[in-house]
Amino acid sequence: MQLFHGRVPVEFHELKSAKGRPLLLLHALGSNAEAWPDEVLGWSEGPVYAIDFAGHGGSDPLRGGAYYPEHFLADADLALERLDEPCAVLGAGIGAYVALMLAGARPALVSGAYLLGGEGLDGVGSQPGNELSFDDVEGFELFIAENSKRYAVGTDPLVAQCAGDMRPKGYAAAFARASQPLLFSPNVGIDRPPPDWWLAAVGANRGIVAPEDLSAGLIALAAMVSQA
Amino acid sequence: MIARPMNEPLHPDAVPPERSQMLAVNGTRLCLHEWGDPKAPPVVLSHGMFDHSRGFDLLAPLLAEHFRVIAIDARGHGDSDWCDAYLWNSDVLDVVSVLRWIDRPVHLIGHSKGGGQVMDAACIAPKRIRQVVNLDGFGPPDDGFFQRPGGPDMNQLTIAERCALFLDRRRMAAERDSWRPYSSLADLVKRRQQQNPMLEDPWLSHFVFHGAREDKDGWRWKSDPHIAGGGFGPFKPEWIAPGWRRMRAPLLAMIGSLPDTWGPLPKDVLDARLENVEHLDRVTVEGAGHFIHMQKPAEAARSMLEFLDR
Repeated sequence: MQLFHGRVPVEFHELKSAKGRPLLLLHALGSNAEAWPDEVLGWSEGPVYAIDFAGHGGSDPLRGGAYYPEHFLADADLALERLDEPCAVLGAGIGAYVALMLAGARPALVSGAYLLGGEGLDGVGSQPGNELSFDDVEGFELFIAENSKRYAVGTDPLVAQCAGDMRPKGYAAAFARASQPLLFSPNVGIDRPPPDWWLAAVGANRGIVAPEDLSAGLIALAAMVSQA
Repeated sequence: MIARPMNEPLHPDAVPPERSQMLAVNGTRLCLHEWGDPKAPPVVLSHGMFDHSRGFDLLAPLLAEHFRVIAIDARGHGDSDWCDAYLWNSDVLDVVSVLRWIDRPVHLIGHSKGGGQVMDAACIAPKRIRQVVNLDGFGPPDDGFFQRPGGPDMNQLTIAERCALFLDRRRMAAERDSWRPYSSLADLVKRRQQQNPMLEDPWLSHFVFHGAREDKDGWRWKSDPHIAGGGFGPFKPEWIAPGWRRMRAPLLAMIGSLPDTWGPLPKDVLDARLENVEHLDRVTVEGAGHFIHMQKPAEAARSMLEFLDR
């Protein structure tokens, strides 16, 4: 099914049909909904949905290539609008960052979020600046070429500019403070602690789980969401 | 010289561009208009939000006596392509891409949003830029541009609450694919004059004519309405000026003497921001508001010609 973000079709997938609280999956930069592993269907008793962010999978690339994380956030918000009921959100990499922002901006519709964290969650400093992190157009093109090498086939290489579009710690923490329950786990294969703003913003009562124990995290999320 | 459209409102001092072309850059196509000797030292002009390059029809011919003048329609504006999303940094890269196409060092002149963007372009591509002129484009005031009459007090909202408003606008974006039509050019001129009361006929009719087109059901702006949907992200006005410390090109900072819709900034705010500029000249044009190059083109051009190396 296609949703429309402005003029751009965004692919919305129903991966599992069931009754219960929906789970919405948000993929990492350069990935897409098809890349979620088979066990994804067991991650929720309820229906499981996923979207392809702009420039990924079945969603069209952006004409002019102006990708930024909050554009993906608005893609994901279209899925919330379509579901029209509270759901749990699970995001990986930039999808985790989007899940965090979605949970903070739409707390009535996101009853909990599970963040498989990537680098973006760490944030940088207190001033991201609006400045470009590369020199000249050649530097931009080199940055795109280097960062897009491992992306799934069909990904618009220009989505790579999101990899250099860092947000300050306080920005992420503000969304965390506004959200319902959050869980953090380092992304699969990445040995990374939660971001250093996490405890202050989220509090000790919201969980941190080990990377190899994804299913335990999902059970914990389901329990937290059901209490929310 | 490009032929004038039959129904073009005439302004005695407005000179249409001598050459125009579309240039493909960064996944879009920009419309460029040129005045002056193609072999002369180049000057690049960058307009403000919801304006367009023909807004330089008064200034460009004055500069073209000494320079090759190239005015850019920013993406989503004028006769440049519409895009699916808009970012400050994409505009900056577009400017630098035009400089790469020109392939010799240029003078950069920008107005309002275009003024801020040419300064950022000068920061990331210093070898391509000789000098910079910024016409009242030094960022929003400290409390932002975003407060709307009758709307929520944006400064009282949390980031998450403001983000929810952004998402509401994006949800509606699919339904807002074109501007509403105005029955006549005069009506569209009247609308623009409400926003910018210091701009008057016959100039305003000329400016609006080139920023709009007549369809079957009336006159509409050429610019992409999705620009108005706005982006979202971490941004504070006080983050702008520290970035200018990277700029090596000399800057002429130009403002008008009169308070206007979008400027100038309070003196203490502007002074503090400009302290970040290493090589700075300043000028205030008497009798002008925010649109200095439209209201006082001769005075603006004189200051620029004194500042710019030939």
